[in-house]
Amino acid sequence: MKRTLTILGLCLSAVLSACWVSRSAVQQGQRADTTPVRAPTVASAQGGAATRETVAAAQAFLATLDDAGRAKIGFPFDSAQKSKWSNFPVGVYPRNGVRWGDLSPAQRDAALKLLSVALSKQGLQKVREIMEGDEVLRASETGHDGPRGEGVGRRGPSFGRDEYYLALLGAPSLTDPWMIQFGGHHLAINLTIVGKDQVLTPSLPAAQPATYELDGQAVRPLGRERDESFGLINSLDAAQQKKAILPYQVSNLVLGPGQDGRTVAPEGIKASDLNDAQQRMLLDLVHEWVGIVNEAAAAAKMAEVGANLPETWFAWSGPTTNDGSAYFRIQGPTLWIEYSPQPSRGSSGPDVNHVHTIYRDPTNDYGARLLKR
Amino acid sequence: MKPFVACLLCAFALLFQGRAEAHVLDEYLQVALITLAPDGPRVELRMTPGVQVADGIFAQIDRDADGRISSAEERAYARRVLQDIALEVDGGRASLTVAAMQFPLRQEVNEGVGEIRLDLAAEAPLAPAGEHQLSFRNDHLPELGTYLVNVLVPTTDAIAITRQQRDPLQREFQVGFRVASQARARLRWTDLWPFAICLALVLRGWVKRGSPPVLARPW
Repeated sequence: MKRTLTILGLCLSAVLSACWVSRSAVQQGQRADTTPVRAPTVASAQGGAATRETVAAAQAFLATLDDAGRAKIGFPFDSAQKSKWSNFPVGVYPRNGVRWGDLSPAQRDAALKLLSVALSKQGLQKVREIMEGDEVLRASETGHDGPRGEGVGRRGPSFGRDEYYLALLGAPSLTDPWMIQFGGHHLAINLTIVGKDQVLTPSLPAAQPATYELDGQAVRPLGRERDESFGLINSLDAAQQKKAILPYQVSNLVLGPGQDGRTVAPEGIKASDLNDAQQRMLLDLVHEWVGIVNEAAAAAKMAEVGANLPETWFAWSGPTTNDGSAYFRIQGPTLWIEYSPQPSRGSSGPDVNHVHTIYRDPTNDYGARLLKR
Repeated sequence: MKPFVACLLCAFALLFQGRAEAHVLDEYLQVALITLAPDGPRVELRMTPGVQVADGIFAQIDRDADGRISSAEERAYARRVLQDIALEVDGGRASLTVAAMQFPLRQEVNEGVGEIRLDLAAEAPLAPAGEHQLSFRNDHLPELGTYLVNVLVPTTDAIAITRQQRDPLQREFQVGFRVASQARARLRWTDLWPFAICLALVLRGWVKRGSPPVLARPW
């Protein structure tokens, strides 16, 4: 009898153990959403001062608005407004917030001050060059006032530096989460601030024309991105290029607007297969996007990108000569960058003078990771 | 603005708030995102006619040419797209069905931002454990089409993508993937604590009785 009970006990314990192990396995197998390849390091900005400056500038800007202006600019932090951004021109894709062209000179100065503390010097310059490029587009034949413009009485795209909108989600705060959203045609800046941490993803800097002349000077809002990427691809040897260059064309952004929270399987060459100099070139290229935000937040993000560098991929599609039109992508556990030349009217295929890019963090878009803490 | 028109515009804006990306002109952008789920693959198809081909595409959908896409026309077009899509798992044809669909208004199509979205699903469980291959081919309007196809990183550890291969135009796509035996793949020592407790209880009983019955009376 005792022997039977012992055998039954051992069998029962084995069955229970098997059930438990199986259940644990299923629970672990069904991970929520897109867990990165490696546990990301936390990008904690050394930027308490940056947040204080940004909050002060936001409050100063709000003080220049009347009640109607404040009603237009303000949204709850967790509202659907968060993901309402696009590369499309206003008119095709309406924006919310206060319109740049409707601001008085004093209000515009205050708004610029806010952007200047939220972004780095080169980041603000990039934003202004994108806006000025749209002003050039407005005056061109495809613009609002051009022969292919919307015309009277028709809904259509609106171009130009006035057609950019500033919105604030949540109240500017040193502790509670809030967000600055600024954008229009070919531009979406989404800066989420949670305490001392600041996150610029997702953001979309783009340009058309990608090269234009202003006051006798050639302006290339995304010129460094292009030059550095061609420098990197041409620094690779034949074996490395074979890994990095995708044997197919990529005609558009894969994870552009509306694709929040998604991660596609990586391709290309792993940064661990690059030498030290090439890795530095890759980091410099990444910094063109990361460095749009203020220096403290950018430094924290670059530290994170550097820590995850061995798991970061670089992929290229298109010609490798700098007069060509090529797509590239940089993908890491906490990073997603795409650069995609687009067709223009009259062009056959992707046009070097019309470029879309996207900058994401699949684990931290809109500060998602910070908000889980 | 009349309230009805305002409501219609709001509803439309909500419906298409996700589409904010395409910028093609004389091509029909067709983007496929494949999800490898344990109960079967899914395909999200987003198709956006460029402004210069919008009229022709819209005419193919709006068969009665009344300027709007009816439910019957939506279903008919979805069926046509399904006929042009081929999905295979391990060499066997996987039958796709339309789980959901969204169609744009004429105005959106005219502006080159009208996105047709079809969510397709196949009942083809990705099993058993081991190596597998999924093949996808899109033959819808190849004379106008420009294609993107990608596979999302699986949301389960039980499936791992091992290989990707496309043709130069991204009309054809092969994905190699490995399905793990979940219990074996995820076993951790900490998961064995129920077994350890049971074993401890049995040993305790033996100790109390003075000698293990197994040793005292070998079978």
